[in-house]
Amino acid sequence: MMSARTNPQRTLVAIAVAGLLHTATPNPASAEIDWATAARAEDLQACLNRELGAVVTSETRFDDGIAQDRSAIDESFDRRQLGDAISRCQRHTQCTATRGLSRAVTVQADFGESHPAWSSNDRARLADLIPQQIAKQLRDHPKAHSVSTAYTPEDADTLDVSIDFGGLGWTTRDLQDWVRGPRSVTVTMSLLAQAATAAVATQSVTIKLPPLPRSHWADNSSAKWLQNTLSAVDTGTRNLLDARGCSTEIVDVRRSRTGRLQLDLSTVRGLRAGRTIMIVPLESTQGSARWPLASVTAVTERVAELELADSPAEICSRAECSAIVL
Amino acid sequence: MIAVGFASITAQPSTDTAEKRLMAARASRIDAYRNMAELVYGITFGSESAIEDSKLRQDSTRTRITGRLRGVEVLSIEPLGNDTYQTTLRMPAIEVARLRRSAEP
Repeated sequence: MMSARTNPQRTLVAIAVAGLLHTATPNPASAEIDWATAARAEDLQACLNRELGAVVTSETRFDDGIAQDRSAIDESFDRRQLGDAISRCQRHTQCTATRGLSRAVTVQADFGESHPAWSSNDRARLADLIPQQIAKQLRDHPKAHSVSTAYTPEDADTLDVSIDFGGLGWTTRDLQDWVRGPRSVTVTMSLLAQAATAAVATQSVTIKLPPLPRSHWADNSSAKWLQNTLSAVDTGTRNLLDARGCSTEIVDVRRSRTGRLQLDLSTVRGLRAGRTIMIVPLESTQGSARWPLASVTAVTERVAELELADSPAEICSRAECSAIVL
Repeated sequence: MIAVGFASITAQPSTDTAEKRLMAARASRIDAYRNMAELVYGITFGSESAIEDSKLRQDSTRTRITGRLRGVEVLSIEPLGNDTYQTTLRMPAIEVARLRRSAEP
């Protein structure tokens, strides 16, 4: 058998093949994180540990003079509690963490009961135009995009729109034929944050219309009241989406079939390779254990591949994990 | 608000000395959390006595402490003497007020 020592050409080939193998199978602990990002992650984790807290249960029994004490602290938490804690730790995050990212938003519109002061024509017009207006805002906003109701990720933000009609309907048909009574429409919009329990922001707009003589033709989309309503919906939607613009992004972490760590990108777009994320195991804060950092190495439409910086490779094998984009 | 918890090292159920120390550190932390919960939420107290033929047959009391603690800062976990671990926790007054408000029925 020919040895490598006696055949330099073969030795070079062997080294080259080893090099190729090395780059094709990334070292799970090789991602480099700059110190400023690592320090920011440490601050954020300290705040989250404090905010997530623990449930304390303690029972002491004295039976015929003998004491028995049993105390426990439960430090586990779920994604929703993590979302709430993050919203309380915003001072430890930077708006730059959301640069380039766009969050999935689903729109749920709920139209109130029919009202005698409102014709079915006008109600139908609002039912068409308001969701269209919101969809347009979502298309134009840099940090949000709409997802179809057919495929709604479980943890997408929800823009809840409720439209209530009010006013005075004449009881006399003769009068109703000539004069349209005072009317009002109230549009209430709430943005329910991804994985949080409370609405991030709420906007409510009421448009009041005075009594008007009834014209012979129906209002078209250029009617002033309709334009005012749509303009208010426009501003409200933009304000709501802006309110979430700097909120820290939480993304689900999973293991691929081959065991690689991946981010599920069903709720977020725009993540690029090179971004740093902090992986949060949803089991226990365990006081001082540091949550691992990882770097995004590759991004497809659905998932992002991760490379761990400083952690055992088996992380997220047993416990569910979420990730915070830093 | 400050709460302190203690745990004995020799009382820990392990044969390994280093493991006993780690267990005592953890137990003192749990004790400190328990004491903090007692300060924040108070104790629920119950007692039960059984008398048969005018004689006291059983006398038992129970105390229960339960609640979620948020905003707790661990000031220190350190040995105290040769056989004890001590954990000191601190919670800001504003957080105490917030937890008590949310616990009100």
